[in-house]
Amino acid sequence: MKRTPSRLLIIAVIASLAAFALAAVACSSAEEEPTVAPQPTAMVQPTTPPAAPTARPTTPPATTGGTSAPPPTATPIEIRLDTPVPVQAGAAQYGGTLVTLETGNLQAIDFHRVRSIGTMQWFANIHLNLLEVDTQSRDKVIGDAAESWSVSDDGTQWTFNIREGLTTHKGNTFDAEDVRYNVWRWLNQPNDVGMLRSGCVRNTTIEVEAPDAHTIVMTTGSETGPAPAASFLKCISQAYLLLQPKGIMTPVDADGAQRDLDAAEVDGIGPFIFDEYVPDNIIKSVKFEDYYEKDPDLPYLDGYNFAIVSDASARIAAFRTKRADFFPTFSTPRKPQADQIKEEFGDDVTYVRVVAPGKRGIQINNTIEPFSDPEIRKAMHLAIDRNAVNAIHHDGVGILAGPYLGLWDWIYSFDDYYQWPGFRSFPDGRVDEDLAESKRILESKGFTEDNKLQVSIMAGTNEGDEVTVADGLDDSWIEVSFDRVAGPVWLDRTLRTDYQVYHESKGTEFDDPDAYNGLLYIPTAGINKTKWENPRWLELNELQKVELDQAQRGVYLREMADIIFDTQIFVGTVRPRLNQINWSYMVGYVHPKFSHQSTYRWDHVWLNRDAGAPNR
Amino acid sequence: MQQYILRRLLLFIPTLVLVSVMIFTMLRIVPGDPVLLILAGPDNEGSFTEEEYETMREQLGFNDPIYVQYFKWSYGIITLDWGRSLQTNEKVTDIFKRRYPVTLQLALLSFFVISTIGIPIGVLAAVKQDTWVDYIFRGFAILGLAMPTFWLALLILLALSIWFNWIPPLEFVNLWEDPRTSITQLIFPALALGLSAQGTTMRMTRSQLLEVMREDYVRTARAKGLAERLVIFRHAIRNSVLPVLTILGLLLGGLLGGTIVIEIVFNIPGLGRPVINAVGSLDQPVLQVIVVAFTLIFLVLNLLVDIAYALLDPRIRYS
Repeated sequence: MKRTPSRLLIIAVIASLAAFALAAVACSSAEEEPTVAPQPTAMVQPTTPPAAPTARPTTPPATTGGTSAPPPTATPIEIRLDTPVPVQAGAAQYGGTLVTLETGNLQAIDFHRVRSIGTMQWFANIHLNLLEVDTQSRDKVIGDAAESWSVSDDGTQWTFNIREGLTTHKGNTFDAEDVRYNVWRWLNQPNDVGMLRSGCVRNTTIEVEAPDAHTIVMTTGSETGPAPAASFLKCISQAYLLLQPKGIMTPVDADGAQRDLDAAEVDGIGPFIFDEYVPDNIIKSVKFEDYYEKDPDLPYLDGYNFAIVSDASARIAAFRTKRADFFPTFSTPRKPQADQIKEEFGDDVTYVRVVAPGKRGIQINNTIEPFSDPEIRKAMHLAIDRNAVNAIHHDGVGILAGPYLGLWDWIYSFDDYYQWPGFRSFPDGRVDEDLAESKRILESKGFTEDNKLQVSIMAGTNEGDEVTVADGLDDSWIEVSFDRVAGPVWLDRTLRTDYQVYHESKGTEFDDPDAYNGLLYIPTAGINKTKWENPRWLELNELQKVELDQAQRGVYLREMADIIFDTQIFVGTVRPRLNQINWSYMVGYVHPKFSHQSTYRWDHVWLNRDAGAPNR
Repeated sequence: MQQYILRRLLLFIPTLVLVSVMIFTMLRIVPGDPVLLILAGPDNEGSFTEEEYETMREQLGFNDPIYVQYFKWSYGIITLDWGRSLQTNEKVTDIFKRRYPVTLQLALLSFFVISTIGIPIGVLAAVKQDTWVDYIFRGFAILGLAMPTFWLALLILLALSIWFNWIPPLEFVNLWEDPRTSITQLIFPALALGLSAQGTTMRMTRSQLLEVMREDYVRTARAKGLAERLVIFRHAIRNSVLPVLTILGLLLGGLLGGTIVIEIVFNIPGLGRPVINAVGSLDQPVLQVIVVAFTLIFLVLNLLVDIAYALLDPRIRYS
């Protein structure tokens, strides 16, 4: 009997390899993840006074945003919630387990190594922050591990008073020395382990001390000495700066210990104790009985589980059937599906959209011809129809990705940006004048309808937006081709600046323009691939960093925004607004207004069984 | 027979070497640099110096000639030091030990579904050839073949959630920990896999049985007055099952290495997600081991099928 097993084997192996490749393509995530890899920058004391702000023009500026400067205001504008949070009456109920949905595994167990928002949402319940930003007011900072704080008259020395009686899940004392070690770790990154979300600490802080068990003193400044840091308080209160007990970090910080923590090593002072981790399935925690909040005796819940469900349809099924209670940002369905859930379940579900601040758009390689010509870049910027990008890819609820967030109206508001050429396509569609200007610029450079500017967009992540961006460019004298590459190749080529244009999307993790500067614009920023630098911009940056008067800081930042706009390397399009949905029986949770910048903690959350919460 | 098995086992070695060389080489030919991926981090934002890049390449052995890298890796495989994931730093042996039993449970249950659906309806369709029974079962088989597994899986999940307001529990439990819960979690993905794959089994069973039923010895059996049931079960099925066995062996091999997408849809923590992550991040240690392991599984199953041939058909003798 003749058999041909080896042929079958070869076929099977080839088929398996092909299946791997197909599965990888099919399942490669287009979901955008949040951010940040700011690196320390040398601070230089300002030498030149800033240019005086120019008066607001009575007519929209012709070609740049740089000349339209509204008077600064210190109050950020209100972000409207789409659906008011239902008011739940009745006394809080104890017990039950909250289940939230997540798309992927923990990036690391040692939280300081982590950048993903999903991992932060988990660890926000295992650890505490030093301070928190109130998720509604955005400006109000509230205590967490620190119960009070003060700043010296010169604005360089911050003193934090750590709560007394904090104990860890394993029964150890947690005091100022633990906090000091955390800050030391962010500053020094032992074993060269990148702690990328703490870049703003390295950019602003030069010293940390624990003079006694309940006091922490941090000094802001640069290598030239102490100096105020305008973004320090927002930085130090960001959700990603969770405090871990010193005892769990010292073994992994020992020389040469190139390892992550084991789940069993995790200890914390948050409301829940890390209990079990099954990658690609579930992470479980149980109530910490000695959590510091005793009045009322928090947390209400017996436990908190994190269901890792990577398929979007499966997440919807899990939510509909109450296997899960909450879709946080980045695990939620798109608007049509979210609308359908709301329509079907009415007030039984709470559905809001939150802003995902940051940058999204195309990055143009200014180091190669013809893109080194700012006029060429400007012609590309003018041709983009941001309204179409918003409608097609962001369900019409996105926000403009300007040089800085338009909600900081003390720099420029959205209404200001909407008057800028190119950006004014966002609210109502592209204006003919912008397209005509784009063509006129290109014609002046020798490009015509018969001899179009050839642009290759390298696409490897966030596939989608760039197609509509290309549609807009095609309306001008620009012919777009796509260079679709796999993720590793995309990364390789962006790092080596081997591209003409690529598509980028990144969120910012704290509510301050320095989050944008550190992420995108300073020469060492991870997203500044071509190491773009502008002497005037850098000079203004040094000025704004130490400027505590927000009105004056706004003056500097406006000019910086103008320079970025005129440079057109970081061509913004549209940032998403993300859906968050929970069953309304989940009480005590108020949706934040910024997705990346909120502490997702469940110590005040309880499950109302009278309103349909499942018994689990 | 023993000599045959020994010879086949010895043939495993060159096959595994060939496959390992192929996968090892392919992963180094495909564009992309795993060191860059590690340094850039999951969000591609990490900044690093050329020196850090070179140091990491040196640490991971990427600066060695490719044959040196291959021999180091091969030695590790033989000594059960399978290396660590480049992305998670987890030991590949730990990944395999923790996840493969999960994939195995799903694969075996799916195989059970395929066998218990595919073979009986294939037999029925053949016996009732060209009747409405045959048409319905053939239609069912074609439907199974035509529907992509992942799509069927999604339909099942959505049907459960919308019509019954129920889906299996999200937290996976092993069969030996809580059989009832485990079966509720595994049966639907197994059905999705089984309904798709039963088509091949059904059609092969039907066509083989029809062929056998036209043989002289079947006619003789009928002529001597044997009941039709005995003709089919004693004489026809046994002789028609050998090619079906080959198909089942291949299907099982595919299941043991290919429940990837279904695992993701049904949130089952098997080897599916690590394979996809490893492909996306060029995690060579993980991918190399998994491909070689799947090859070994295929080889073993092929051998078992051949042994089963001899057991089922006394005329077959391996020498």
